[in-house]
Amino acid sequence: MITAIVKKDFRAGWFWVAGVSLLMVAYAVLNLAAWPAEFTLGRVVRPFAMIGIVEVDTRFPLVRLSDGALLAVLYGVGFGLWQALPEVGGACGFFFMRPCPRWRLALGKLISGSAMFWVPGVVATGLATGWCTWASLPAPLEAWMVSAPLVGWLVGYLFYLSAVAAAWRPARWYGGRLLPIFVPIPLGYVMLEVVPTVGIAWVVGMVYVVFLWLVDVFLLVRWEG
Amino acid sequence: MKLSGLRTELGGNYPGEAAIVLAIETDKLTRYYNDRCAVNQVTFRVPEGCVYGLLGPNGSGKTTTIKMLLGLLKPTRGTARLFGCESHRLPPALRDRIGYVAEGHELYRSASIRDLADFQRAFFSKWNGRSFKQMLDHFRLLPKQRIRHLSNGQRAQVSLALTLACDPDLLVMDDPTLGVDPVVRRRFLESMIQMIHQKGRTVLFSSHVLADVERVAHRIGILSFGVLRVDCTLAEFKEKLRRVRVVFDTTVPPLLDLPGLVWVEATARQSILTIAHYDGTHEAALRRRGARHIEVLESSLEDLFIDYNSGGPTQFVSRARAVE
Repeated sequence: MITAIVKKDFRAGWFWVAGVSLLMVAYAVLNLAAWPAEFTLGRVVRPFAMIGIVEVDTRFPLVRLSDGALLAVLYGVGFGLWQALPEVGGACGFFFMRPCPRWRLALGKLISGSAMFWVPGVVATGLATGWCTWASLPAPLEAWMVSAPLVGWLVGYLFYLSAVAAAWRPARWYGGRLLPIFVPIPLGYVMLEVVPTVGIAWVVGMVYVVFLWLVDVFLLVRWEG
Repeated sequence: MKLSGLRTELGGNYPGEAAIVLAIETDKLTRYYNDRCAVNQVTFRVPEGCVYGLLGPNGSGKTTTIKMLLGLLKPTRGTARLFGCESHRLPPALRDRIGYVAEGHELYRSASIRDLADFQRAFFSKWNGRSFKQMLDHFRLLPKQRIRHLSNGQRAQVSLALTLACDPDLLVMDDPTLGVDPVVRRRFLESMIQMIHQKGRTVLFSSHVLADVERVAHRIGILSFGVLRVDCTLAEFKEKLRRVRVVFDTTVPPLLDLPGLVWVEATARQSILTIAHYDGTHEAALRRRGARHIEVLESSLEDLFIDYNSGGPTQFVSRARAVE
């Protein structure tokens, strides 16, 4: 049953995954090929950019990917609302009358949404990691270099789960309905800018992810309308 | 005019009541939205195999009642039971026996008919792919068609086909022919009648199209301002509520105190009265008031329903005075 929900959501939302993946891959390629991205007078192709600066910033291509957090946040909010709203909107009768416990319906939605959310981030980071593994960088590739950009994607994921909560929570006034979406802003800031290590950022983020999963499942189980 | 003060609620019994198995049973079902009462102490029962038409004007509480029956809304007070189980605690095995065609036939717009069929098949144990295909052929629809490209009527057909292919024991439909043209409505109704004729099926449907209800329902309920005013068989309703044309020699006399009077349409010397439980006493009372000619009219459900639900207290007072 959960598989059916995953299949349905992938069929309906593949364009989100494909579109954002393309954007992220383009962003990764841009980061790999040019440095710094802020250069306005043409981007320097990476082999040239590396001359003279390799000692300073060998981890550059991966860490820069955390800037993709902005895209991840936008993707999280847009995709979360798009994926969750139909089930409690017009198609609620069709969705909720399934002979299946509601918590399983909620899990199905969250599993499919999470998979679809993470694909672009993982693809882009994978591409960058592959390039850094293959390219002759003067410094070894370390695990934190890979996980750092994914912290940005984790922040976006918090926004995805919050958008789902906003869609599924009982509320009438639209301003009030969207409130949960703003809750991860301070947490995202802390994860990206304040915590001293990538590991701590992951721990903080994952605690909030678990909390939001429970909230989302609870909201769908209790939903009425 | 509606003479609500004089109106008697119409209720009917079930033949062989002790032996019946109930598919739907509500007891004082009540739902408030904030302080507004949408459904007020609605009590009715639908035996297995019965086709029940739920009627009522817009905003009378039909959709809210249906949503409470299906467990999509929790009642503020009272209970609703389907096959003996409280509706907001329906186990999956019981939901497997229930089909629901929602108002407006909202389905996933980006999905194709085939996608939706796959989705249904994964959940419903009695899914019948062959029957689904037959229904699509009957409605001249193709599995590859996307929902967003379908008209209202076609979406209604897809919705019905998706529900019927699950072979439900209980089918609940919320205004299934709303916004559908007459041709499609006819086909839709034919499919419904075919389905009803299959053994043991119970159907509850709400509708504005009274001719449809008249054609298929065994029993009707009329909701008005959240209150179930009528719950009886169609024949009982027609029998208990009569439209009578009365011609007087002089101007129409005061008639408001006539027992069971539901509605009056009056011209100078003639009145058309809708009366509950019409019998010889009414005729005698009318004769005493100078009626020269009394004729019981043939009435469709639509005529009776409109009389029963038209107007409100203000209209009643003003028009009653006009008559007097």
